Amino acid sequence: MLQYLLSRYINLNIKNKNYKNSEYKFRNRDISMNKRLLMYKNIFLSLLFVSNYAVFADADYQLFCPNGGAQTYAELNQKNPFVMSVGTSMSQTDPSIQNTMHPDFIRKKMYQKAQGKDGAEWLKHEKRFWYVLRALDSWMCGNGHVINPGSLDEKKDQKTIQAILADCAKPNDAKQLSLSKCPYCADPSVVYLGDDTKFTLAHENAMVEQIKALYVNRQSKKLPNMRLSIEIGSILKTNSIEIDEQKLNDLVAFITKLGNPLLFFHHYANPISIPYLFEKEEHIEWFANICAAIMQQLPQITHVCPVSQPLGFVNRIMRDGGLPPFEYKISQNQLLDNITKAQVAAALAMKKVNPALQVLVSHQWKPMRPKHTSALDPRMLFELGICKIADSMYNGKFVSLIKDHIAIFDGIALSVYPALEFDLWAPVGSNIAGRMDFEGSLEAIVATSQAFPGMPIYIVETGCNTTDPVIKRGFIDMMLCVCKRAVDLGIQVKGLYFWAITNDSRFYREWNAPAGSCNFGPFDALDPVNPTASINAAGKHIKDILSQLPV
Amino acid sequence: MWQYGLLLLMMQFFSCQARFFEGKTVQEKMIEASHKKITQWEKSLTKQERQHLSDVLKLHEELHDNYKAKPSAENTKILVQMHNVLEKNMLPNWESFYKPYLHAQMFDASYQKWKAGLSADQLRKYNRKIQLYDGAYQAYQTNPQNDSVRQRMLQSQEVIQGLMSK
Repeated sequence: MLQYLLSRYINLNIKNKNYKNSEYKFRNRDISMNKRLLMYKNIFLSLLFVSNYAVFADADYQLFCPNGGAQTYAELNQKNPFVMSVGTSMSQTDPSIQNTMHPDFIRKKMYQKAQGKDGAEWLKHEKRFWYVLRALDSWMCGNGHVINPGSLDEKKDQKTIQAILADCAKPNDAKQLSLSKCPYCADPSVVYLGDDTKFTLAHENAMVEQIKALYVNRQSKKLPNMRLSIEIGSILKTNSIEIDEQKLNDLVAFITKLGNPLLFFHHYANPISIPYLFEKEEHIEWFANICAAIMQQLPQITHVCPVSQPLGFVNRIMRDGGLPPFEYKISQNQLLDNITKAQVAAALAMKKVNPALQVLVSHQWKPMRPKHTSALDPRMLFELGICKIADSMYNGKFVSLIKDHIAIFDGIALSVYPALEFDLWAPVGSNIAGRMDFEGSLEAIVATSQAFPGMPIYIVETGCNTTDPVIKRGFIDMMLCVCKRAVDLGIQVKGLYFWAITNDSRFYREWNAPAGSCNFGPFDALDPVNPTASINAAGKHIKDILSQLPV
Repeated sequence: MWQYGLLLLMMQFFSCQARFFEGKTVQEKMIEASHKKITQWEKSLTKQERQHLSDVLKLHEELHDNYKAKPSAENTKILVQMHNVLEKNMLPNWESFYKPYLHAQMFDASYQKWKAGLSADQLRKYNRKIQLYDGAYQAYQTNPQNDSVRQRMLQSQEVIQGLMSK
């Protein structure tokens, strides 16, 4: 218990120290007092709960959220409008979009990298190999074996996976990843079947029906009714950086059917015709012009955000090599500078089109924690030091990039996921681990507000990857309680948009993860015949909470 | 008379400047001294130790390069944090704690690879010894500063080492 208290105390002190010298000092004394009260309450509660951290987090939110989700939602809406909804990105939904997540691009790019020094090891890396397996699509051998690498089980099919990874990068005429033999029977007459999954107009309409079924449209019209990251690659002419008017019209029609989504214009993937978007200065103006051109056609949209989680995007590519295009020729700092300039340019360009438009800036504020919290454990101090460094390099970097431009933006589009733990220097945990973290979620909001006092915050992405209906409902209630706590602390939290709409493995791809491994969304399938039949516990809970609103 | 006053003023001015420059140089010198100490320690590492520590060593190099390229307040702060972690935490405790701990991790990594390549028969045959090692290593991970736990882990390691070399 002492260890736990000490770690909490130290964490709070570290948070305060990091921003002591920031020009955005936290001046609101009421909020400081409430933070102290919150700390004392946490210490008192931690004396009551002798348990591991994950269980504490669950019990924690139940104590802080005794009224449940429905009442908490009603309380959130008492003074100012508050919206609860869902959202997704087209880069993870439509497998045919011409961007750097498209299997064609991944097969060619990864083949190229695999021919280099230590190429085979590079391909097998834990942060990349699922891109390989999914990009291979389906094959069939002469003996009738159907090979679907993206659907293999990482533990049970380990040997098959290793065989495929070793085989697919061998030099071939096509100059892309491809199988030369069946991994089951070594038959060399393997045939590529491909993947004919298409996100059609019928699927668009199914998604619209799903959104309506959750009753999210009953909420305030002044705030977005959902969140949607669109893909610029879907509106460009083939092998070109020019807009295809027909494709733009189709996209506008889709967005209009959805209502008033909070639009993002870039989400972890670049158009295939500019795979290294933001590498050059001229990309900045191009990006801004494209955003403005889209907004010309969408006067009804009230809130936008140019780029989703730029720090996460750049880190995943440059530091981890865990996101296509896997590399850039410029430095990480230069890329971040260019993306910041692009966001600013896009914001100004879109505000010219629509002066009333609310433009947000996006970040996933990541609380950092030591894995070992015993005061007697020598690893704790090391890990605390690493947490400070990681916080400076990630969250601190976001603040330093945006602080000089914050006046241009109207709010923060915040992504909230569990805290990142450090086992010595190695980060542990991921956003898809299915954890609930009340304290980490609240810390993310409070820390963001500390860095940018007075800025409205929209939680545009948060989720718990689980099929357990109790946890699904619990997570929704927990996040509502987190928002209520933040609002009580004087922070303007305007909306809460849970991640994902569908868990259908054909129409939802998680980065570097096997097909069908993620269950964030309130619907388990995207079936045009019966769109709302697959509503799960999360969807029903959202619908129940929002059913109290008038039609 | 006024010349003496002017002379006094100038002396004060230059001594302030000297203190200012001396302060700046002191921090730079401290950073360079820490960097030198860490680099010397790196050179004393074995090839396997350097490989195992590669992420943290690369991070240190990156932060040092960022500082050299642009010694801004932010880059200096992060580099000093890194030096605190390595020089003030890892180095003093290297022999007594971190070296044996990391060696245990390195052994475990090669053990996991060996275990993944075992057949079902071999797994059944070595099951008891594998379970003993897994338990001892888990206990060591939870309580690495406990001597008896470490001894038990080392004994299990020896047994597994014998199996791996067959």
